[in-house]
Amino acid sequence: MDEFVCLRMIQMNGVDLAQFQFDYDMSFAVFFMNADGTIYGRYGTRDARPDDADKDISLLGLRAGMQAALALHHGYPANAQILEPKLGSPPKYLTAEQYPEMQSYTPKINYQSDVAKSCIHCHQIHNAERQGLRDSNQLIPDKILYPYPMPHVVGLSLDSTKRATVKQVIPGSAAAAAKLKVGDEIRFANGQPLVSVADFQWVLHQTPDEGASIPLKVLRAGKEGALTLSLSNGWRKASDFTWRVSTWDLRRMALGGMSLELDESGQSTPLNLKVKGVGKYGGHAVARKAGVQAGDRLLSLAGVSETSSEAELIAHILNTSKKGDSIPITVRRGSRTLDLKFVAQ
Amino acid sequence: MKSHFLRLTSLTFAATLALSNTGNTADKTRDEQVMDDRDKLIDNDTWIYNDLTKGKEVAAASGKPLMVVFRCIP
Repeated sequence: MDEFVCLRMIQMNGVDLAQFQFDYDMSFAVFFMNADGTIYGRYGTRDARPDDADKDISLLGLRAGMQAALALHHGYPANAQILEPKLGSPPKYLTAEQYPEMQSYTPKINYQSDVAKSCIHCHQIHNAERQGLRDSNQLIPDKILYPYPMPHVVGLSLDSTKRATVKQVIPGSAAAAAKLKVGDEIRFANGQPLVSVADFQWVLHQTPDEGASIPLKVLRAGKEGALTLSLSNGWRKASDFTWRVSTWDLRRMALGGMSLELDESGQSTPLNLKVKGVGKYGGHAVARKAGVQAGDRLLSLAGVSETSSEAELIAHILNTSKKGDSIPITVRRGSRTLDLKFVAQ
Repeated sequence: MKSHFLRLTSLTFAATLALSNTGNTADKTRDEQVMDDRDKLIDNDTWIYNDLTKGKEVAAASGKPLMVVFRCIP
C-alpha cells in the first residue's frame, strides 16, 4: 500500500466520466493510474446480488493487480502507447450531473444535510444512459444493455486470486476454440496488458458485437504464446444482467415494474416464468395497476410464449417496443387465464 | 518471509478498510453511515478521502501511482 497514493471516492458527483469508465453497477471498483490520468488497470468484478457480491474479488487478487500496476508504473512512459486504450472514448456527458435525469444534483455531495440523498450513486449513470435512449425513441445497444461481460460469456472462468489466470474452460465455447487451457496466464488482450479480471472485462466491453476477434498473449508453462479468441455475432447476449442494481429500472421500462422468476411449481407454462413481485409506486406500479399479481404464471409476454428468461424478455421488449407502446401479457392465476396489457416506459 | 507476511498483513488491514463499509450498518441511517465513514477516513494516514484533485497532486509530487477506490457507502 505504501507504494501507492490511496484515494477513497464515495460518490459520482463531479467525477470525470471520460477518465473513470467502469461497470457502474458495482459498489466497489478500483483504478490504478498515473497522476497524469494514464490508466494502468482496473480491479473489481461482480455478477451477483449483494449476498454473493464479493465472490469474484479477493485480497490476493487485489494484491496481484497492485503488483502488476506497479510494474507498469515503473515502465511508464515507455509503455504509454499500450496503455492508451485503457481510457475509453469520451462519453456524451462528461459528468453525471450533466445527464438530464440528474441535473438536480450538484458536483459535490452535501455533508450538511441529506448527505445520502445528495449523492449520485454509480448505478444511476447506467439508468440515465438508458432512459435518455428510451426518451429519444432509440434502441438500447447491446453494449449498454449487457455492459462489462463476465469472462464466462466467452467460456472462461478466471481465478479471482490472480491477475487473469484461467481456472476453467467451458467445452465448446469460444475460449475452447481458441485453445486456452487451465493455468494459462492471459498477459495481454487486444494489445492491452491485463492486471486483473476487470481488465479482461474492459477489453470485452470494448469489443464489437459482430465479427469480433481478440488477440491474446498467454503465458503457459513459462513460455509466451499468441492465441485468438473469435466471438460469434451477438456474443454479449449470453450475459445475465438481472443481478444488476440498474435492472430495477429496466424492469420499470420493460415489465411495468414486475420482477420474474423461474416457475418451479410443477405447474409451469411453456414460458416457465412466474411473477415474483410487482412494484408499488410510480412507474414501478404500472403492471400492478394493469392487474398483474405476484404469483401469476406467464403464458405469454409481448408475443413470447416459449421458454425464456427474465433478461431475455426485458431485452426483447426494449428491442421491439418504444416508450408508450402497449405490451400484451397473458397470465394464469389458479384456474383462470387473464389477458392484460400494460404500457412500456 | 517475515517481511512478506508483514506486507500482506498491512495490505489486508488497509485494503479491508477500503473494501468495507466502515460504518456499523446496524440501526444506522444512510446519512449516519456516510458520516461515520467520513469521520474514520478523513484524517487517515493511508487514505485521501474523496478528493481526486488532492490525490493527483500528491501522486505527482511523490512519483507514486494512484489507487482510486470507488466504494458505495449506503
